[in-house]
Amino acid sequence: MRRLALLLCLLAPASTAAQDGGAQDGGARNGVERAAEAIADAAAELVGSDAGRVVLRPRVDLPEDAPHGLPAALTASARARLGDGAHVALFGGLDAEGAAAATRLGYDAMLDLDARIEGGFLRWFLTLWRGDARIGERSGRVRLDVALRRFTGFPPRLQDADVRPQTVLLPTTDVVAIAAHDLDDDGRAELVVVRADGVRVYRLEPRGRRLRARELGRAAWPAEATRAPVPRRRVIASARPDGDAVALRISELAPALRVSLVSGAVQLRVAEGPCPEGRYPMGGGCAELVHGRDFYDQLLTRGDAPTLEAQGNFFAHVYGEFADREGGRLAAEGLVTPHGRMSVRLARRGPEGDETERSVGAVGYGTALAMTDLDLDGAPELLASTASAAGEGDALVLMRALPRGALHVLWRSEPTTGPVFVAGTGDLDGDGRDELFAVEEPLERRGGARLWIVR
Amino acid sequence: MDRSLIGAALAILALAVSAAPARGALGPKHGGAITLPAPEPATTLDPARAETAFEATLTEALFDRLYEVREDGTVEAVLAAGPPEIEEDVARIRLRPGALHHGTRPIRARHVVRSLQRTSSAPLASWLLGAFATENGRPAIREVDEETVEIRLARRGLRVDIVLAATPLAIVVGGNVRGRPLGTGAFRGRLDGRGGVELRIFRSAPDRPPWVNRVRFTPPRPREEEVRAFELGRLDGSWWSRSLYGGQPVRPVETATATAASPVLLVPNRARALRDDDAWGGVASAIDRARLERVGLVARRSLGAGLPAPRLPRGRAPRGARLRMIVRDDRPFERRVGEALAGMLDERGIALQVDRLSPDRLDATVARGDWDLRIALVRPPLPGRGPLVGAALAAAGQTDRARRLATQLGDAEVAAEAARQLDVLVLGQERLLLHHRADLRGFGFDGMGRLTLADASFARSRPEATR
Repeated sequence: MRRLALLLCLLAPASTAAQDGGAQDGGARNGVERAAEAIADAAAELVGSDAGRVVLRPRVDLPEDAPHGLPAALTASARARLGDGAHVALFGGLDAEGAAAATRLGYDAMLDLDARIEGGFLRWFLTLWRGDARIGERSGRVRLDVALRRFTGFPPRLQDADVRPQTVLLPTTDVVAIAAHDLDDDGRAELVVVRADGVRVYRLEPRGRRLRARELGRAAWPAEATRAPVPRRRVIASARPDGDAVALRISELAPALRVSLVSGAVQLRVAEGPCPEGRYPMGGGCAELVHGRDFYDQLLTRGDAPTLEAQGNFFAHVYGEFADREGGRLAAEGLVTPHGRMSVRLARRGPEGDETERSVGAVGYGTALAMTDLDLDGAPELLASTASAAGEGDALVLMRALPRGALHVLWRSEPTTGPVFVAGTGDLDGDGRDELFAVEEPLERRGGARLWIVR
Repeated sequence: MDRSLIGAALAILALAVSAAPARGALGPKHGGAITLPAPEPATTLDPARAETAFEATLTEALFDRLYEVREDGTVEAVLAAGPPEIEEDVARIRLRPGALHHGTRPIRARHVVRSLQRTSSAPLASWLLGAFATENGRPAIREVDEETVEIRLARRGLRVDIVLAATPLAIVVGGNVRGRPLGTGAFRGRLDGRGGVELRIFRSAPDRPPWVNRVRFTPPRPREEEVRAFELGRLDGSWWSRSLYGGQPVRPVETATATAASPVLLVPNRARALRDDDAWGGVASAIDRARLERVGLVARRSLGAGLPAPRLPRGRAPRGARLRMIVRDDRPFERRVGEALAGMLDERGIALQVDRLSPDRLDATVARGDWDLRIALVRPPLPGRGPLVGAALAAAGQTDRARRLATQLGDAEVAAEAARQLDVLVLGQERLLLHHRADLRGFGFDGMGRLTLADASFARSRPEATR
């Protein structure tokens, strides 16, 4: 019961789970709020201090049967920011005609907001007109999350037959941790690969109908990281997105490190946070290794959020909050214990505030585990490796964790040649939707690893 | 680093990689205890005195060095915090913060200084200190502060990190160095006083703790008893595949094999009966290496790949000569080699008397010069030709030449010339073979002939994934 209360309290509106890279709802702010905030910033920048009377003309290209309200939601922040002199008006005509109409109506300027759906993004253009003169333009895009999808429409629910695995050659081996994060703010996640000898950053680029991993750069451990702490027997590392960088740790004796892209070059530096000394950053918080073992203790400290007590010690842990299409929210936590048991805990708060908690488990899973909601239905998908015997290949399993407390296997790979140790989630192809991915190591340490991308 | 050193490091450590734990998606299982028979009575846990593969196995499990040569040939800091800071001929080494020794206290500079200086009294390891300058007859190693050690080098430009990566220079923090030392390795260890050894997991090991909780080497036992105990499950491995009467274990068994990169030398005493080249050349030519295969030797003429064989004089077997050969009575391998050599020389009319001596008596006898032939086991402290030749010189008693070589470990030509002038007969390399239970993973010999105790683990039971 205590755990239920803990998980549910994490679902409170002021939840600090924004640090969770897997949260589909963007943490504290959803996509609508983020888009409105970005538009307000752009409007304030365009109009300047001497706003005068400004009319906002939103034009949002949505399907005919889409629910109303998105234009108002997108301009709400801008109206508040511009003050009493700002109004929202809907009138037709071309851009210049609209500006002329606004002048005739007594406005000093018109901010024309044009928003449309581009793939998995809401793309917006904001243009400032004074009379028939076009003064300036700003644009931006926001990923279509559940909040935006309520206006634009949801993708079809993922069915077994719809799962599309894809493999990409990753020109590296011996990956000990991996994270996907948009390091250069171009809307596409880069792949941060952690090895025992340093960090490599890749970007997936289309080549024909397939993807190709291009190395953006690499960095060895900085001198002040005291290279020695990387142990010989088994390197245990973790990485997670943190702000505009990826935070990682390679040993409990090593300092915390951050990987970022600075002017296109990979920068790896010692930096405090996000976890205290000796603790490994991961989605659910900061974990500590069990003394003398290669798995983590069940207590995850979470900075300004309550400590999360996992169901047990674990090899891999994922945590995320997911909004569903009906307005409810689900806190999902999954882990793989040192004995290969997967345990998933699901706490849902319904639209009416009703609360339920379910748990489900299965055995025979490995150390690779990642979670995201691929189809934005509020039931997250998990990608896990199996507990293969030593020296053998492995397999990948995609499961849906249903809020009623069940794991539904959507897809299972053919046995892989090599073992799979790490998995992650992120928008690797820049289509606005997250993918789940895992790295299959080559058995003979020759060639490269295979990056499995599943969605 | 010298190319030859890197190449050799790659070659040797490639073998070590192949012995690394097989990688499964779930990682090795923790816990359990491995019980193995000791191939010979364990008499010391001192890394500076390790000669046999078994002793090297034990010291590798118990101790770490300041630096290690990794599989790709690079030198990496282990107990040091990073590469040494070198200013002219002075190297400063900072210790790795947070590294604990077996007494669960941080390792300090004074531990390192004491450990390195004590090596000067070890005959097989002291030659490595030739790379350091001396002050008042002692190696110029001093403590700057609690976490910094300063070493003055014998010459500028010397790669001190490579020298400090040598296995005999592993850091012994304290304790009873022979029987219950304190180190920083994956296991805490102690001799049981009967020839066996107890190793227990050290959970704070800087290089990560091992997978198993305990490894016990029981005192050596007769072959029949050992095979029977293995068959009954009282032992997890045996050095014998079958008993003298053909009895074989019926349960699943796997066999780890390796040829240790450690040559076995026949060292002559050129101050007695073998003083003239004719006699020594005759004895050397009377030995057929191929016939030593059955006692566990892989025949080799040179110390290692890429090195020339020692130049041996030509001569005729001194018929009727009586020679005295000394071997350690606690080393069955040396005894077997000695007996095989006695048989071969007997056919040529040379009477070889093989005397089995305790370690202390053997050392005293060698020092007195009261012997004609002896066996020397060469344990290379580092990958590469230079260290191998240096260790061979030290094992053959030519310590001064070995010390000079310590300042030029990376020079392949110097090593080759020293190998050519080595006045010994290379018999071959020891063949290692251990039969063990089939559910041991990551267990075997590394390229240096050491058992990979810290990488060993028991297989997991295999659960099926549920839908």
